Amino acid sequence: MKSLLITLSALALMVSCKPKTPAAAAPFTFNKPGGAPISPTAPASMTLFNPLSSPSFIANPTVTLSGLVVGEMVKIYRNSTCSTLIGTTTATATSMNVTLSSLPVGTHEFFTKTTNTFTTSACSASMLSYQYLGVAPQNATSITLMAPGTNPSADSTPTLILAGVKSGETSRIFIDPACSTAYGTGVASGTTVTITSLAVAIGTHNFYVNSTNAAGTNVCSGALYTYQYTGVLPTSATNLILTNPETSPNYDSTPTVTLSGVANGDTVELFSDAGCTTQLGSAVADYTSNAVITTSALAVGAYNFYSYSTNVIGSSACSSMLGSYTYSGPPPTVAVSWIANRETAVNSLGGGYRVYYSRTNNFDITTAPFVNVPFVSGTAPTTVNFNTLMAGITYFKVQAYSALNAPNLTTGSQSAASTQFSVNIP
Amino acid sequence: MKMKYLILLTTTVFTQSAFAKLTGNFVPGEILVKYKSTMSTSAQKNAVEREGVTTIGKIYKNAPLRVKLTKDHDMENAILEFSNDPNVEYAQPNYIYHATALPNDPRFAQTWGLRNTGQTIVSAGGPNSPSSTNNPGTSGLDMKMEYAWNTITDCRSVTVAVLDTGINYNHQDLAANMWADGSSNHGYDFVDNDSDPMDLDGHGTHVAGTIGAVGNNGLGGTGVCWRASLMGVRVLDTTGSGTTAQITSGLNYAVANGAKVINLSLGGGNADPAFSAAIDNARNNGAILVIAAGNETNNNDVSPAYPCSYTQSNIICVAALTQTYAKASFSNWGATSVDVGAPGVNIVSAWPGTVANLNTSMTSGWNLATYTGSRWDYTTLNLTDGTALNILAVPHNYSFGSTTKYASNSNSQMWRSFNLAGVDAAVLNFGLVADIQSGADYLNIFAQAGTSNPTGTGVKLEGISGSTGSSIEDMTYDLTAYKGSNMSLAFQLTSDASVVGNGAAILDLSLTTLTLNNSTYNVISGTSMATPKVAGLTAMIMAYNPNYLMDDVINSIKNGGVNTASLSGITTTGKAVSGVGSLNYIATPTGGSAVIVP
Repeated sequence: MKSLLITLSALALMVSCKPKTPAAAAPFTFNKPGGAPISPTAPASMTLFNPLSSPSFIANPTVTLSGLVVGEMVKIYRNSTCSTLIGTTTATATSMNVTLSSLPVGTHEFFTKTTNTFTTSACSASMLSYQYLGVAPQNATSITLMAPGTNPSADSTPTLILAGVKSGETSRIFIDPACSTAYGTGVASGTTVTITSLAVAIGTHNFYVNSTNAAGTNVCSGALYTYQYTGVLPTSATNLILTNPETSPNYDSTPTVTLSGVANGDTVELFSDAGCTTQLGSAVADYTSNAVITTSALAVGAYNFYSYSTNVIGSSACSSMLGSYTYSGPPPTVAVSWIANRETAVNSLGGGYRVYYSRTNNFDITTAPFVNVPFVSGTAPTTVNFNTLMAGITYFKVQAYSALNAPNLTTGSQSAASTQFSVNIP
Repeated sequence: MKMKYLILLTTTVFTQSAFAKLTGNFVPGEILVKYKSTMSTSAQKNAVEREGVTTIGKIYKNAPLRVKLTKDHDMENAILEFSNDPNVEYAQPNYIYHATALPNDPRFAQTWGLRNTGQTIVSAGGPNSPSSTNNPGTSGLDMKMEYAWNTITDCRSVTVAVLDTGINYNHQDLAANMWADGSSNHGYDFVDNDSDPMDLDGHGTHVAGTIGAVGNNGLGGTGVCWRASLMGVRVLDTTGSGTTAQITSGLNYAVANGAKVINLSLGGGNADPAFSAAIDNARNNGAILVIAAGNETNNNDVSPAYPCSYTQSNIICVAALTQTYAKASFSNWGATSVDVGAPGVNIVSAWPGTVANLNTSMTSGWNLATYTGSRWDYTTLNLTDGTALNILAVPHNYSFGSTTKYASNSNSQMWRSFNLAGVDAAVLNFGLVADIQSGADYLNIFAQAGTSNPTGTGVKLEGISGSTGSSIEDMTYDLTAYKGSNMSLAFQLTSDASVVGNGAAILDLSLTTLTLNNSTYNVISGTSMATPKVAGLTAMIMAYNPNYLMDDVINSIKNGGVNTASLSGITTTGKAVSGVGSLNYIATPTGGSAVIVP
């Protein structure tokens, strides 16, 4: 054994005395004493190039990789184990666009592996999330006028034929370039769909479209058709209902009424005489063909309502009587009272009562209006007057609340709501 | 009829930390305004600014805004104005809370019922030791008193009567909180019929300390009320027993002297018209009775336990909870007769003095030589569990259940003397197994001052005749009358010439003394200990709400409690009492009406 050791020592000495060989030039460079190869550089970022955002109807999006090292090859995968390859590029610049192979419908995470002369990196963390919605719905490519026969026209509700659509998909028409308020909708049968527009206001309107399928809704198209509605002499309102208050006689000196049967954009005026000379108010009709008017302050008495409408063409005749309202004068005072709570915390600064009221029987206090009746001095008040209640039944509930905070309790420092009570104002 | 206090002799003690105390002060020129959640934060800010004032700090959704008033704004008016805005849920001062200390009493840390930190309850130095069951308990399961103390600690406006064994009114934790009549008496003693309700047992003092041991005085423990007005009404004697006459007298005295809360940690009687009438009298005078449910593990709905089972509206009956808020194993319950639960196990409180057990050896020291017929002797009694107890028995060859009989025409005496110098009370306890010819032969018990044989010359404490069957009868006698010097005690069996019995066996004889002092504490358990927790809270609610009627107080105690699983279905409320819960409880407004003003 001893002699063998001597032999091995000698051999080791020989090795250490061997002349050193100069380090080889490229391609083999080792930058660590341990001889580890230079690692490839992972892309610094991956962003969407086409489309610019997700989700999208594009199955094979183009992404931009940045922070690349020229000469290194980057492979893009759609799974975290980097086994499903969807794109490859060899960097010729520090930023490269890569169009990916087609993706299935769904949300995908993109990962990369980078290879240089020496080695390949591990699979990266997710660098980008992208949702492919599927095949895009097919917007109409053109619009033609089906009715009326001419353009410009006095028809405020033109019927349009949209062409270039896909059967089964839903098309909508708009008169604003953002496609925000639909003026009509229809489902394509074959490659066209016919849609009649809601009433448009007097003037010239561009029509825009978009389409919807199971994958989603396409972007708003450009203007596909221009239509001019010349307008007609307006018609007077045909109906009037009391909106607020809803009944008459009542105690609101400025009741609100809704007139219907008028054209979108027409100015509708309300009068209290059959000759339409004493105006009570006016409003512009909306696209639902209604105009909501709150009257000027009325004197006590009975009123019949009449109306006419005006547009750029002219004015309608004064209508027949559309409805009536009797203003009985100021609302009566309703005194609400309850028995005083005896808690000190109710009868202290910060305590008091809350009186909830509603026109709905068995109402929920969490959504009802209320009047606070706070403590001021002495004991908290136990009455409050209402001077704005209209005719009919109003329901009330009273809750007492505390000046104390309620630490470590799940409920606040207030009572349950009282039993409901009511008043019926004739 | 005799009543007894409801105590389980187990054991215990308290500390300090920091909490925020509401002083009633608020930030001048600043209020908090809470708008409805349907309003955006920007709309809220605009609404505030429309009033000519500004918001302070960041605005959080669903949180009140801090509003800075100008010098032209009156704070109360500003609160009123904002409160009247239908979009405002509430407006209030921005109260100032001060970091301050929990009571600085050293035993507060052991008072788990007031603040349960999961502490382990240890001996308080008194005669009893704590139970190890559920000890330590669960942090947070307590009466939440620290939050209630933010609002009130002083209950002195409400007199609380403790109908019990009396109160050591000189105790360091009670003296400052004692009620006094015009003659400086702290109550009345219906046992001795004098004006000195001094406690010579311990139970009443412990109860009183739980209600109102002076808080934040740096001594001992803390009651539910830091300041209180405690009336001592002694209706239970030194052995813990009292009669209907004593208790009803005590009730009427308490009511007549203005007590509005009466603690009754006692029970044991039957339905009793006199007792019921006294409760009616209390009710008619606005006094609330807080009563222990009892410690028999009974359903009081099935087996009524009085006075808990009386049905008057001024009664709150209390079950006991452990440190984990389980129902105490001993506690009675009743879905229709027991109202609430409160901490009642391992409760630390004041004790009237030191307790000692005199030498009462069962193997030596007795004079046995005076007899004719049978004689007393030291022997053993074999119990069914196999234990052999040292006993003193007559005849000398006594054997339970055997055919051995004592002799006819016997006069068998055994006696010894004890030194009761320096003590304030003494109680004799022993177990008795007897089979003595009924109405013909007797076991007589004598006591007298001095050191000579008291048989025939001393006071005859009792003459016992008949059989205890196969059970051991607990016997208790108050020997306090002999305090101050030596006294002697004798047992005498006398028999006639006719048929005889097995004899008599004395076992577990003890002579326990109490020497009053003002700084002793003890840890014990029972519904007796849960009851004063509720009595103290009742006084606190009354003191904070001077306009409350009796029913209001009871409603706040019952409805302000915390739902507790162990009490669900077995009490009327299913709740454990909560200090902060009852203080924050607000009754539902009633009597609402709306009319058109003509």
